[in-house]
Amino acid sequence: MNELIEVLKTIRPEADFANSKDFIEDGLLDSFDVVTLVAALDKKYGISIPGDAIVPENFKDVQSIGGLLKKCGVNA
Amino acid sequence: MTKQRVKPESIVIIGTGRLAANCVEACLEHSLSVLCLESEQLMFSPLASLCRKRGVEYRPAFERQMLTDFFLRIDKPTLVVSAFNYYIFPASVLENPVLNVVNFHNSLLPRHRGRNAATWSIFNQDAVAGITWHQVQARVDTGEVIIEKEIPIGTDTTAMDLTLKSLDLAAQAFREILPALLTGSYSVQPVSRTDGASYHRSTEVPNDGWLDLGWSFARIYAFLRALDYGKFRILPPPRLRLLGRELTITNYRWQRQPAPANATNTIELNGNILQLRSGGAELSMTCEESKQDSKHE
Repeated sequence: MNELIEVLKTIRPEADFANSKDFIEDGLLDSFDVVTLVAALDKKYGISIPGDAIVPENFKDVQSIGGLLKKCGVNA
Repeated sequence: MTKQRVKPESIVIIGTGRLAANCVEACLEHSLSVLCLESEQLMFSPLASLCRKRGVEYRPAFERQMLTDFFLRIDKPTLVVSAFNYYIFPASVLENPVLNVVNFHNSLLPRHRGRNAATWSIFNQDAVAGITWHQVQARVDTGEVIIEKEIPIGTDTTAMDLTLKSLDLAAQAFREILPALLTGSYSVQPVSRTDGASYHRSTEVPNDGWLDLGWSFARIYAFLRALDYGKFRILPPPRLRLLGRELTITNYRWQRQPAPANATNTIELNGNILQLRSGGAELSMTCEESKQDSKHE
């Protein structure tokens, strides 16, 4: 999970991900951030997150992003 | 030329996404009262949450006629900031004398008016793209220029990269012009460039989305980058016809520097990987058979 926070920090260094319960609701990630994050995760883990998985519930917190990665065969 | 425009007593920001949010933030830094109209329904827009947190009045406003009625009813001097907004202000709204309407466009006007300017800048192999804040006229993206800023297009810049840079630069430029907008007295310039004027509709795609293997290597690479918005489906994925097959390009990367424009291309298809070589340069494209329903909506 710390790995994910590190990736998130590269995208929005100023955002306080550790103290947010919902990154989308709190306005920490917008659509461009999410697409940038998906590209970073694809590259880091050698996967291809499908476009139809880019929905708010998969990016609301570290757990949900971890769950998405798990579906793609990655244990982050 | 400096013109006196309405000195606003209130501000309406219409648009969506991070640029609209940044404009709201800039207005709040001036302790201004703002009404925010979100004109597009984005899955991840930060606008609603920002307004909620900062106590800004927020209204989703996806219905065009409702917006027109709203603007026609305004009767006190108001600055309307159109920031990443696809609602087109009709002449009747622009004739309301208490409104001063300014808009962001992601090109150096009059180049690439209309939609997907980042795509067209890259596909045309422009050396420089840019952003413009301009007065709004009834004809789309034609009003006098308040501020413009250039963005150099690198050899690897994608449409996504350029869009992100445009939004950041637009937010910075808005902060620069906001104090003048609030006085109602500021300089504007007519669109003076005469070269490269163009207008693109949302349904237009470079070469209808088809890669032409007869193009130069640089042109092919520009085409791929022009359609590249990461996993956003803003435009359809690039396609090509080869040996009687219609293929969709799902990924691409160049392995060596782009070749001279006059070098000859050689093409090799190994499984689902198409290798294009030209004058020492090499571009690798992952392809799949095109689906019948892959047309852009």
